[in-house]
Amino acid sequence: MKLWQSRYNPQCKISQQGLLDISEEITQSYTPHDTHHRPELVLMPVDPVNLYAYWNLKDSDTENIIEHVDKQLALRIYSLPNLGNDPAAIKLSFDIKVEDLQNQQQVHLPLAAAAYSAVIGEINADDSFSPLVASDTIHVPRKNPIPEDTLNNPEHVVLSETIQKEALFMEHFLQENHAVENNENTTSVSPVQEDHFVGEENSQNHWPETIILKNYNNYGYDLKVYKHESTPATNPVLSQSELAKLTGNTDTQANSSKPDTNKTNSKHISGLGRLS
Amino acid sequence: MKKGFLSLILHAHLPFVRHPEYESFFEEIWLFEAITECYVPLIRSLERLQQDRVNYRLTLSLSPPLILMLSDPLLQSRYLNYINNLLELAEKEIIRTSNTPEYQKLARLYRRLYLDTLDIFANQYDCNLLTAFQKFHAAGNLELITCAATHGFLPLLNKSDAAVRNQINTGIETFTSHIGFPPTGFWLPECGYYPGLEKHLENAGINYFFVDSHGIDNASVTPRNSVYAPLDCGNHVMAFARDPESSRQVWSSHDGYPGDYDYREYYSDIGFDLEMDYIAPYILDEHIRINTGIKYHRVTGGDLPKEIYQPRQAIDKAQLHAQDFINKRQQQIDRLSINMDRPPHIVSPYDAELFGHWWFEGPQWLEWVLRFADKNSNGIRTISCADYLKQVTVHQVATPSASTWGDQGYSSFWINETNDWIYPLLHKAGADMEKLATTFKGVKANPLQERALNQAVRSLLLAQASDWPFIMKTGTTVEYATKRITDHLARFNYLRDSIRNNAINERYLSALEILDDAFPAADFRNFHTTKQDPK
Repeated sequence: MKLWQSRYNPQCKISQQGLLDISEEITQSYTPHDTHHRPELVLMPVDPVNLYAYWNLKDSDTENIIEHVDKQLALRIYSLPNLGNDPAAIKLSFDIKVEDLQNQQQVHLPLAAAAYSAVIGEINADDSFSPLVASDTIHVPRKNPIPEDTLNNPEHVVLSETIQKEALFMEHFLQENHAVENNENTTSVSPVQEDHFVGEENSQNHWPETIILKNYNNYGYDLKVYKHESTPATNPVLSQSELAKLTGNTDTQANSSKPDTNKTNSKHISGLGRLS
Repeated sequence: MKKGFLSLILHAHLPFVRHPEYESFFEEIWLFEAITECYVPLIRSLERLQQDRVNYRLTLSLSPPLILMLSDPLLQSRYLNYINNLLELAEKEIIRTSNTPEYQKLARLYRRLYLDTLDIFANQYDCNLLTAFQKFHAAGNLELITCAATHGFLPLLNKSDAAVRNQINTGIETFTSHIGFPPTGFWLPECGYYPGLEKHLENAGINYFFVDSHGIDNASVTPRNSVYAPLDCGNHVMAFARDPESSRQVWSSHDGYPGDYDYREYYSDIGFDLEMDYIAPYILDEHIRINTGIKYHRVTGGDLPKEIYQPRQAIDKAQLHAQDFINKRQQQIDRLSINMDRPPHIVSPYDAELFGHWWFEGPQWLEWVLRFADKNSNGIRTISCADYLKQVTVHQVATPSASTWGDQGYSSFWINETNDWIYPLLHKAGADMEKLATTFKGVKANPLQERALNQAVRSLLLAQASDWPFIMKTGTTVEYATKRITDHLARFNYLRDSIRNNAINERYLSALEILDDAFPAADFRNFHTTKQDPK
């Protein structure tokens, strides 16, 4: 019978059957389960227009599950163009409803070459959103080359990309308006007030004019498009109000008109350091 | 006729498959087939080029799992069994085909090939083919580079800098300890790049890597010379791009060379074609049909009955295709030179296992390409990327775009509904490993703890291999891939708990060291968070 020995301890000899038995015993007893240290939400870029999200709402240290009884969970995705210094940048957000037992989701993105972040949270009875866990920011790549005429001119790159994106949305906007005008009951466009981009009280800031593109591209979500005319004083991806709720710093929520749900604390947040 | 450079890159990789707990194990055949059909034929071609004093440069990326397997005594001895078994089958085939001379001629060819393979493997290189590649490197013809430790798909391991850093550093350490010098180039597994990865490569002492064409085309700044000159990622680490045109000529399933009707048909194999009673001793468990490697037919074409393989005709076709490849590169160089500020550099990377395994005549084609490129009748000069960088020192600075060379060009082949379940588990194990490393930071681990911590690193590395999600997506040996990733993560969990509970069972630890005998220099301290981390 052949005996095997470890190169790190030649004295310990094990038969082939012994190896097999130990291997099987360990696999049976220690098969990995989908458990995590702490609540987290992880985003991974798949391609220019898809990301993959997985999450965990259970704290294995305390065995507590973040409370979300009887409330609809949603994955709220925020986007910001990669070139974050663009003052005319369009910001987007959308919600994807997720089921209680679900812990992963592939997401079709509205825009390539952008940064994305997400928060998983509850949708309250008054339609407000109570964040539970936030993700890091990820970047999805561009789909197409930068036009040649932008060579060595970063300002032109920014401008060109912005124009392209605006054109994209305007085109969609016009199409959807056409659909509404023709009583095609698939889409509606309406300006709304949003509190997700709460800024300082500053007369120079013009609050976002928001349009909602219903069932955007048949992706199954309504896309909120914010057009901001000045540089926001807010966190580029998360609003101050949400950040405040996540960090427990209620001082920054003064401008929020929505109820303070305050259901999480900072230990549930992954990647806040990179967001702030 | 304009002058330009051609870099031919072969990326040689197989997953680490080694099962001492069994007398024999089917999936080990992946290595044995590759030795017989790819690596030895490549060595044969390089020997002939050396004998004929052909001046060429070729780059071979040797993945760490392949390095470990080629130098592993257990697998070397099992390969001898394999090739001797094939020789026995070829002998039997010579007798069986005695009434069909055309088939018998081929059976004799296979016997000669296997005898020569055995001679090269056992006698010339003492069962370790790495020494052959080192020899060609020493002669100045073969550039050797490597890739990540277990071919981990770095864009999806990127949740943790430590995981990415450990894949890169352990890969380089494995290469250096076996080959004898550190690599200057790095093959990103699946050409998987994301902005920021170049910083890890810089920290590891790497000068260049490869991306797919759209990684350069979609770079942060428009590349002045398209994919025909490298980009400096901003830290003097260079990104070279795959040339789509020369790739298509070899890879394309429609109009690529390997599909020519004169070439040997991969899917016609006596393992499937002959009576069970006869072939049983040479297939899996004596009843499951598999490819034996003995194939008698050529592609033929269309839905026609497969015609018998004509080796001379096939070799002539390989030579014709090699000349065609060189002609097209010259035309390409002439065309590109008009708008470029430097000689075009065409980078043509391929999987090494395409040549010989899938495309039987591939090694001869490659040999002829290198011979033709050396002639004065064209302006092509084969070059390694390291030598190119010595000659051309000024480069455009830009960051490539995230990309891979997989289907669709991004990460979707490695994360989709067939394999997405593995990532939360891999990320969690990575986080646990970082925690363990942090726990022991500044604390002297006792020898048993040190062994257990390093073995946990090996388990994690082996679970991270890109091969497992790849196989799950292709749907070929899904059960095996699933078992492997489950086993490695279970072993990791066992070691983690043993370390945490200070209850390390030395017999169990030794068993795991024998089962996963890889990366002997693995060091858990690589999982410490360092100031070098890019983020």
